[in-house]
This record gives sequence, structure tokens and C-alpha cells, in this order.
Amino acid sequence: MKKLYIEPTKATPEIDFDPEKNILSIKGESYPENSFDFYNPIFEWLENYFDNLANNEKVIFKFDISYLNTSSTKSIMFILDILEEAYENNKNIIINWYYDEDNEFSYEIAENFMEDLNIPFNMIKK
Amino acid sequence: MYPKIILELKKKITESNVIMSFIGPFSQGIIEEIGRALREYMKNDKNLNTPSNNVFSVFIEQSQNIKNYERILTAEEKNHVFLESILLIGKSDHKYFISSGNIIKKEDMQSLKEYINKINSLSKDEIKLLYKKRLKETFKSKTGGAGLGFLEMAKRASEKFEYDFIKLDEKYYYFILIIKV
Repeated sequence: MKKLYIEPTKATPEIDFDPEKNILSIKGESYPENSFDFYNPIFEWLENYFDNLANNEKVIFKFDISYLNTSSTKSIMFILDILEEAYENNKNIIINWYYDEDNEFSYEIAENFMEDLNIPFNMIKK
Repeated sequence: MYPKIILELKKKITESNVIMSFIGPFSQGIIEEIGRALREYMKNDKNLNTPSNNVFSVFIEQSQNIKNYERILTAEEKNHVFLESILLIGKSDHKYFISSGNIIKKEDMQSLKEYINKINSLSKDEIKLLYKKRLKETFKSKTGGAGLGFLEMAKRASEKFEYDFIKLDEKYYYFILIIKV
């Protein structure tokens, strides 16, 4: 499994998925014109990664997101859906969601997401 | 066009409390640049009384809505003389406003009007609930939709949406939307 790294741009976050360390990170802001074009390769990578992952491996998924437009919000929800499904298939995953106290936005989006999830979800103040 | 009109226009724009204005077809690059300038402006605003992301979010959703709508128009419709969209960002009475105008086909007007009226009739809590519900219903469709964008803007807005549809000809209307944050 190859590492997935996508450099951040003004309107897209940095993607840093390391399948050796099992640390996957999304960091930055997201408001591209077409979110699905940006996130589709990420969905595919994740589905492939969890298909090949042993159940005893511990995975940390880090979100450090300061702003999302509505179509990116849908894409992040889709990622959480993939994570939740993997968790239900006995993968050992935790989510660390980093937020800035001065930015209500990042806290609020996490709140919208986490209520339907069973997966361990840590809110971490930066 | 005569030189003096430039100053007259500038005066008119400034008197309307407009900080930034753009007329023309939107591109993602233009949206990003205006967004950057808007954030820079808010950083220096000592009387900013709302989180800057609230203003930024309304700006992004409103301009991307217009951009997405432009995308569904046919080449012929795009060449229409009234295509130009306008976006004005300003501040008056301690509130930011994001005002836009863009062409809309007559057949799309009714459903949009009903949707905005529906949103305007809801309380903040009802909007938040509806947003969550919509988000969960639609995320699997994978496509962007203006529906969630309007709800997001309503969440951030401090007043009800002001809007108008001005008839341009038999087929097209100009859709004006003013959102205060």
C-alpha cells in the first residue's frame, strides 16, 4: 500500500495518509469548486487501505480542519462513514479531532458529525 | 464611457457601504482571491462582532451557488446578454452583508422562491435541525447541491434573507439575494 500525500492549496487541505505508521491526517481548509473530484481518490485509497488492514493494527485518524464548505462537509461525512464501517468490521480506529478555541466552526462541524458515530472520537484543543 | 463616470461609480459604491465588488462570470480562482481579501479586511476590522468564518462561509456558499448555477446553463444561455453576475460585500450598521445578483431561468424561479420563503419562516434551531437532517440524507448522493448551501447561509445569517426576482425578458430573471451576518 502506497502512502497518499496531497499538498495543501488555498482551497484544499493537506492529505497525509501513512499506511506504515497507520496515521492518517487531513489538515487545513476545504472549499474546492468540486469537492467530489478532490475527495474521490481519497475515498478509494481509504476503502482499499481498510480492505488490506489487519484487525490488530491501531489506526489514528487526525482531523485538523478550520473551515469546510457544504460540499466538503458531505465529503468528510463520507470519509467518516468509511471509518465507521471499518470500525464495525473490527478495525482498531480512533479519531482525533483538533480544534481551535477561537474558531467555533471546527468544533461545530465535529459536533454535527460525531453524534451518529460509535467509533472513539476525541476532541482535542490545540 | 466618460472618465468622470468612474469617480461617480466609485462614490455610489462607497456610499452604499460596499467594501468589495465584482461583476462578471465567477471562477474558483476569483472566489478564492475575493475570499482572501475579505479575510484580510476582517483581520483589520476592530469592530468585528461575528466570527470571521461566519462571514466567509456565507460568501463561499453564495458565490459557489452562483458558480454551480452558471455551470448548468447551456452554451447558448451562457452567451445571454444578462449573464453577468454581481457580488457586493460590505458593512453597514455593524453587520457584514453579502449581496449577489445572477441570472436565473424562469422555470427555476418558483422552486427557489418557495425554498427561500421556507427557510425564512424557520427559527435558528429549526434551521440547524433541518441542516443536520439534510446533511445525513444527501451525503451519499456525492453531488453538491444548493439546498445545503442555503441552510448553511441561514445558520450564519443574523437576519432573514432579502431577495427579489427582477424580470429581464420572457425567459430570464435576475435573482438578487442579500444576506446579513
